[in-house]
Amino acid sequence: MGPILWKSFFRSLFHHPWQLVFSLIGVALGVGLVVSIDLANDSAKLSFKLSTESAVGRTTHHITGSDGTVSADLYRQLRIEKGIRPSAPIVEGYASAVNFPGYSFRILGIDLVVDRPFRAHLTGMENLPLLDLTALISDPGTIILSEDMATSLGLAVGNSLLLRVGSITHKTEIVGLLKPQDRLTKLALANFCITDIATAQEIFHTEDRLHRIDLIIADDKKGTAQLQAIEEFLPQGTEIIRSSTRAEHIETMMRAFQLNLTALSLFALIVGMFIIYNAITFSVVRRRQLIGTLRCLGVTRSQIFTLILTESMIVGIIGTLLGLLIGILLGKNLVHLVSRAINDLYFVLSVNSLEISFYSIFKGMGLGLCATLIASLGPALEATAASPRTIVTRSTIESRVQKMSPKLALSGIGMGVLGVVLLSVSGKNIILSYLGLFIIMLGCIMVTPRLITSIMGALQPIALRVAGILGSYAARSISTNLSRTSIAIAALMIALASTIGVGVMIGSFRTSVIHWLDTLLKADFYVSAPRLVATRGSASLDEELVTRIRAIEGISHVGSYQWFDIVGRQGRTPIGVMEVVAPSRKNYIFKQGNPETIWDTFQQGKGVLLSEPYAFRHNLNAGNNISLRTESGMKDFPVLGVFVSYNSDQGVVMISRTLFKKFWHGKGVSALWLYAEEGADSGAIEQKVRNLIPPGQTVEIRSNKLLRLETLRIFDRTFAITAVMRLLAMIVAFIGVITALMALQLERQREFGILRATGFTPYQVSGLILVQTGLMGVVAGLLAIPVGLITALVMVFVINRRSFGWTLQLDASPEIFLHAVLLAILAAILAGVVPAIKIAVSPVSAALRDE
Amino acid sequence: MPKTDPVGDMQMSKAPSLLRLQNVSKSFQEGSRERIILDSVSLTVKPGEIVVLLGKSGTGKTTLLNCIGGIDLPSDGQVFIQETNVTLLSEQERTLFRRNHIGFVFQFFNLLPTLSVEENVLLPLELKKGRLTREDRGLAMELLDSVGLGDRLKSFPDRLSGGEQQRIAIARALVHDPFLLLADEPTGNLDFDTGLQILDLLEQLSRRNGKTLVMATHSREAIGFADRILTVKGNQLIENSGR
Ligand SMILES: Nc1ncnc2c1ncn2[C@@H]1O[C@H](COP(=O)(O)OP(=O)(O)OP(=O)(O)O)[C@@H](O)[C@H]1O
Ligand SMILES: [Mg+2]
Repeated sequence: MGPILWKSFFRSLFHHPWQLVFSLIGVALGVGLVVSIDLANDSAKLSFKLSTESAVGRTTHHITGSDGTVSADLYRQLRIEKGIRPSAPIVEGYASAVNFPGYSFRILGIDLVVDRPFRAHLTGMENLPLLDLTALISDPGTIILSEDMATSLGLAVGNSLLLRVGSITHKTEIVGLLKPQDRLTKLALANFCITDIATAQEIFHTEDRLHRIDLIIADDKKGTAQLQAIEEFLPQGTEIIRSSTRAEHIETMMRAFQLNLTALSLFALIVGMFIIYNAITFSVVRRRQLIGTLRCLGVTRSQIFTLILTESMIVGIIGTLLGLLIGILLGKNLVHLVSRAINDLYFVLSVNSLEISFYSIFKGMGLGLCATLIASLGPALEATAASPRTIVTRSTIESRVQKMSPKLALSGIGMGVLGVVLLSVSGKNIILSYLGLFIIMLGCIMVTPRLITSIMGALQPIALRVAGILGSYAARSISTNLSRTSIAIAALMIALASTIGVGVMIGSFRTSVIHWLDTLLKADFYVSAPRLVATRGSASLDEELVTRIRAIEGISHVGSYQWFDIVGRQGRTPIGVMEVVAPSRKNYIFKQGNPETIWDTFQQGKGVLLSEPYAFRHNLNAGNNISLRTESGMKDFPVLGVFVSYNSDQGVVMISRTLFKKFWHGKGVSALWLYAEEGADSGAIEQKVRNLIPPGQTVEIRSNKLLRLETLRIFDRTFAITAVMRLLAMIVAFIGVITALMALQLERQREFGILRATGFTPYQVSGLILVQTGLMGVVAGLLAIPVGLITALVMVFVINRRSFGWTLQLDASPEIFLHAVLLAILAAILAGVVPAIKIAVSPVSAALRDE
Repeated sequence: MPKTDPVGDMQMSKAPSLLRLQNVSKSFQEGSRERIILDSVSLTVKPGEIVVLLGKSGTGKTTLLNCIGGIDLPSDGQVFIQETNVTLLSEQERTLFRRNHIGFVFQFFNLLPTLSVEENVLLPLELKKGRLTREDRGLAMELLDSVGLGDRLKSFPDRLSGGEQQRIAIARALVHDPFLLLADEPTGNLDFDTGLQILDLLEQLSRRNGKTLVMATHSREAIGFADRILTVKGNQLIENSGR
């Protein structure tokens, strides 16, 4: 195709630059949101993966016990008696830096002498001066940090660093710095803190126990024989585990969480697609004259198609590039929200920077271009399908849409049914659930044109009475321009419905959590060690302190809780060891099981209780048996009941202290709850507890009110990212709708010019425009209410349940709906302002010539 | 080679014709009703002839021209241009045929507003040949000179008067050396004098280049230079023998 043909088409793009700007915004924002979430998710995953890989090093297998520890004797026996080498003992865990809030370290306690084959290559310790290493072994409480981290905290060799594990603060001294050479290793080691194994045992209070024994076993015959030998030698309750599975288990934990974020960001892209679709349709409609003339002059259909597609792809490419930029900038901010939510919900994770992966960029680019292509395919085909004559007549498009709308509505209902069917057969699959929701929404979109005609038909007499012939004209021309108005209204409706859906989901969640907390938190005081992961209190309180608190006068009951993981080939099973006291019994809401009898059986150690998400994830019900690894091998326990808990989406298996003592060993308590005697002075009791805390220990003492508040604060924090995504998606929708409606009105400048020429005052025409966009806003808002409710129901009862295993109480507060409708009207009126001003200030002749 | 109907076509096929309509009918579906506009119309036009189509508004002049130019297809019957049966061509082939062999002048919306005067005239050449040479530009220049607008090459159409726009449209319709020139009320929205100038120009250029011209018009003045005058009336095409 020659240059003049290209010019004839593209110059008109610059005659209407705002059109170009709108399309660019649509693509850029959609792509930006997807890329930012993707980058944030990936950065979190990468940081986790790198840090895990460095800790694992060349280890192929490791040995550990059911409670996550093994005795040091076992290690000695394996190494000395059985001659299993290379082998290395590990004590590890997380500690927070007391003087640097928000910073936490992964403490890796190793035996420097034997560890070289495992990790020396990664940690770069080969390059450290021998003196530092000697100090690490000989001086207790010495550590090595990564140079980057030390620099950013303003620390140097010789400085001390206060590390807190559980309630106890340890003073450590930096004796060396790691200087990793490449970027990835730097990243991986950023929050590492390497110590001698003895120091780590001291810090983590493991006494003579290890967390695991690392091995390197060759993948050959000899290796298999060695594995066999070790397996036979291992005592009951310990297991040899392939090291790579560890990371996988942990990664699956956050999958649902990340998937939901991705789905939200994709929604923004879909809204972006609407904007593109609208922009391209508009550019085709506006150039129908041009296209018609070109066709008469002998330009073929495929040439027109190429022209339109090229134009939209140029917009798509520029928009996508802009979107990538937005994505990176936004991702830098989102990564903190994402990693904080993961920290609160799942495990300790320190993400210090956004990793810009080419894969994410590439994916974002592909998505942006595909979205543009899909969105512009329709208008491009429409422009080329018509014969040269019919392009020139706009009315044919409208009458076709009018005629099609009942059929479209019927197919829409069909789609809705299809979506519901998909939802009901998709089991626990989250992606299919979202697909089902998407299909239902698509169905709703398809019903929209028909509904608009009916609503406008009904509104017309009212508009006539309220605003005279002008009002009636405004209402009618929404129906007569159905091909354009229905797209704008449907886009606005879907955008609003989604925000309603997400809003109701968060609201329902919050209401359910509040109800749960109100029932659960009945004790007067809660005493616990500070935690690194908010929803999991694995840290222990000092034993002596616990004994002394129990002895305080004026306390009637003391309940306790301890959290540990059973570690095995199947991953981690979170276990809550609970000492339930009489007043606590009624604080639990049971989904299954008889609350009257359950506690006695539980206390006697005759079974376990499951939290709802755990039961859901593992398909367990009251009456089933659950198999748990104990110190003496696998044991089956009857499930007595399933209780409501929003603590962790991984769920928990609750066992009594009796049962714990019988099958596991280990001690310590993570939290205590205290009931004051009737009439006792609770202030005095709190003071007594505080007085018992020795210096150097940090213990949190909270009243039930405070604990409730803090739990809600953490809840809000974990939902911060979702709320931000909802807000961003709303902004995209808002801009999208404004552009769509504005384009619609600007396109009709000529029609308005004719009205002006026939004697309408500028006020009247401006009013007409505002009434019309306002009406469209109202219709979109009204339609968004039922569709939003449907979306909310699916989000709350299907997607949320399948993602996290929670049953929520639906809390569809009217404000959320009201806000959506107001937002719609606001966007619609804003959209009308520019065209209204334009028509009011420009001379009639200009409007008439506009084309 | 398009097949021709052997029956009822004896004398017509003897004469050398440039354009031949054979029992062309056209009707439009409007709702459930069918409106017949043209009912079995036949016509033969010799090369170099200037034919003027008269008829009241709404009788079907534009419809007929559209069928001839391949912009629309007749409901029934055949249209031959040279030896090609346009009605048998596919949409794509008709487009290419139009591009190479037909020049159009319309009443409104003639020029592409996004192209300069020169580019508007060059576009059909570019479409036909793919690449433009220096000679092509010379040719366009020459044509623009001959319509008296050689000094407005770089102007855009919205800066030109209606008459000037129409003159450029004529230059554009001729630039790619078509067999057939179709003009649909080229003077429809011009004042009397300008209209006369345009008609003059059309006649002159057609005759000078030996083009066949079929023109629909309301203008009585066009009758003066027509070789033949036809009137569309009552779904039929009537030859006005006496002037
Ligand atoms: N696409 C269409 N669908 C339905 N009817 C049509 C269509 N195109 C033309 N007509 C009808 O066909 C008839 C002839 O139209 P046409 O445009 O050919 O008239 P005309 O002779 O060119 O009139 P004028 O002199 O006003 O330009 C008119 O009654 C018109 O309403
Ligand atoms: Mg006409």
